[in-house]
Amino acid sequence: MLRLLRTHLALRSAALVLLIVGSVGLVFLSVATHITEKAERERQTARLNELLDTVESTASIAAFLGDRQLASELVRGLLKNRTVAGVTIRAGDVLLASASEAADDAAGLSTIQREVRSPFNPAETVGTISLLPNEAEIHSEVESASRFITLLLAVQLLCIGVGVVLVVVQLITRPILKISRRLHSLRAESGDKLTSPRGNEQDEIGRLVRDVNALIDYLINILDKERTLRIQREMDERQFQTIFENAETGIFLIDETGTLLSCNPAFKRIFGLSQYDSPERRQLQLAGLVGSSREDMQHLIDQCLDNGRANSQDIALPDAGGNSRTWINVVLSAVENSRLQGVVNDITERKLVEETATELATTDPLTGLLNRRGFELRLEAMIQLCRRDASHGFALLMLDLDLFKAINDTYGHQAGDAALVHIATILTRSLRKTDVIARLGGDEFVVLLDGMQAPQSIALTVEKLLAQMDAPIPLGGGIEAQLGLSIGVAVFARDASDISSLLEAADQAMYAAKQAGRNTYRFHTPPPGE
Amino acid sequence: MRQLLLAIIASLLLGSLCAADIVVVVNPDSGVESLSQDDAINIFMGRYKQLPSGITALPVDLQQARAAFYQKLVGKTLAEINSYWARLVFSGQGSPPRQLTSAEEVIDAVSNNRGAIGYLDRQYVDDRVRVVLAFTP
Repeated sequence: MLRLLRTHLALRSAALVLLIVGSVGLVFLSVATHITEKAERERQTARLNELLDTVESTASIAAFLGDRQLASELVRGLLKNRTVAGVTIRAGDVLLASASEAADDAAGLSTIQREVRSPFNPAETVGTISLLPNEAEIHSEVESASRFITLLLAVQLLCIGVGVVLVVVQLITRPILKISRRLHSLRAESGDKLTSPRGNEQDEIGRLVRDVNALIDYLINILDKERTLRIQREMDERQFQTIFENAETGIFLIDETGTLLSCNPAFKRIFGLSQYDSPERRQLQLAGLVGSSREDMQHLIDQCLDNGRANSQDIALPDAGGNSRTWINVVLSAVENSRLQGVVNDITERKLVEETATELATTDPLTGLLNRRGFELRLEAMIQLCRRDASHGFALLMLDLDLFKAINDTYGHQAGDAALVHIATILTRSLRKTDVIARLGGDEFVVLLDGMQAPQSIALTVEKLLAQMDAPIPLGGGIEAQLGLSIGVAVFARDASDISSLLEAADQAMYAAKQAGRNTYRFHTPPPGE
Repeated sequence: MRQLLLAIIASLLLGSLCAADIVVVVNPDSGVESLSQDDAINIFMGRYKQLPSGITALPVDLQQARAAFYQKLVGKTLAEINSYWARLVFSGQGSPPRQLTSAEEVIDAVSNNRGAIGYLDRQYVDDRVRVVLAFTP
């Protein structure tokens, strides 16, 4: 029952209206009963008074004469009336006649008493007549009147209840149900609108429908905007994802401990990881990926965490054999939450180009030996090394090909070049890999004997070189020639401690050797005992 | 003309009063010297059965003077008086006074009975009866 009232507006309205009307009706009923009772009493009293008027003359005679017979007849006559419960007639103090229908309801009731005058002298009171109203009759009258009112009220309540239910159902519940059903099947996203039930366009229900439509419009609008934004964002994300996925540059994210959080395919490619690998799940350390360059990488990370700026470094990436075949450039920059993001580029090719360029710049194209520039760089580096380590030293040999000008003049430049290449081959073959061999120009060669300071060992090497010159040198086209070398030796830092004076010293020694009769050598400072 | 009319009305009234000069009489031996009008009413209307002296009352009516007498005594018409008695007769409790037809019969009845009480025009009163109540005009 309560569930019905909760779920049905019409029943609830009806119940409330019935409750109110019923309460008011009960109040009305009690008031009406009260009024009816009072009116009924008054009516009874009026009737009894009329009765008394009717019998007054007879009662007057009976009292005047003290006639019991007449009084008794009168009493009997009066008792026949339903509204009379009892009658008493007295003449002065003498009881003439008395009777009552029921003795029990005599108490507490208002008897109607009237003085009886003499029939011949209105001034003289000859007795009294008392009437006792019939209380039961009054009650039954009031009851029947009340019952009638109650019946009317009940019928009225029933009509109101049914009426309210019908009105509410017709005017409110049905339109609302209609709207609800339409809302259920409404395809708002396709632009459908709620229509007002017929006849409700101008009232509150119509207004509700309009409001709902406005709300739908608003929501659809917002949804559209949201959708557009989402699609835009998805496209952007996809674009970024595509860039991320397809970039040739390795992109990655690490935390402050250097643990890899995320990386793209290019990153995996560069570090030789499988594309199906997920390094972020393996807690891979970035520094652990670069093998022997681990410290360089760790240094870069620390530096970046330290200064918070973007830091860049070239790092050699060793291959399986431990050789640095690949070079990478790592740029690290700090992002939020003490994370670092970085890009990695394979710069091996650039490095190669650089190296090639350096080589071109420092190599003599004819012989493949270092040129003057290359030589000076190596000499400088070696001097730097020696200055750091005093025990380290080296010897500088200045070589000049004897009679080279004659060969050029006699057999042409090609023959001269062949001679120069042959000398280069001899030098390369005869000396250690750590030694530096260069052609400064023309027939002028120079050699740095790394770590060699003792005159004996220098002399041994030089003599071995000179011995090779005993064989004739092929000049191309079947021509051979016997050539000689004049060699000047200067020892760092015994003879000189800077580039130009060292070169000068070697040059002087070389001239000395030439003057001594070709294909020989001289120390700038002759060794003791010579 | 007006004076003549007044004179006629006055003479008529006077004449009527003179003609209705009724007195109540009793037997001289009844022991009653005079009666109040109330006593007369009570006796003639059957309320008192005895005279004030204790003798049983025997009221008599004079037929031709009845209307005037009761008119004077209780101010009621003869019809009303008859109706009064009719009710009592019906209940069997009382009876109206015996009706006599002449003043002579009244005097006879009163003088021959000590408790008798009657009324008649004053002009017929003689020694055989005693006037106890006169209706002063």
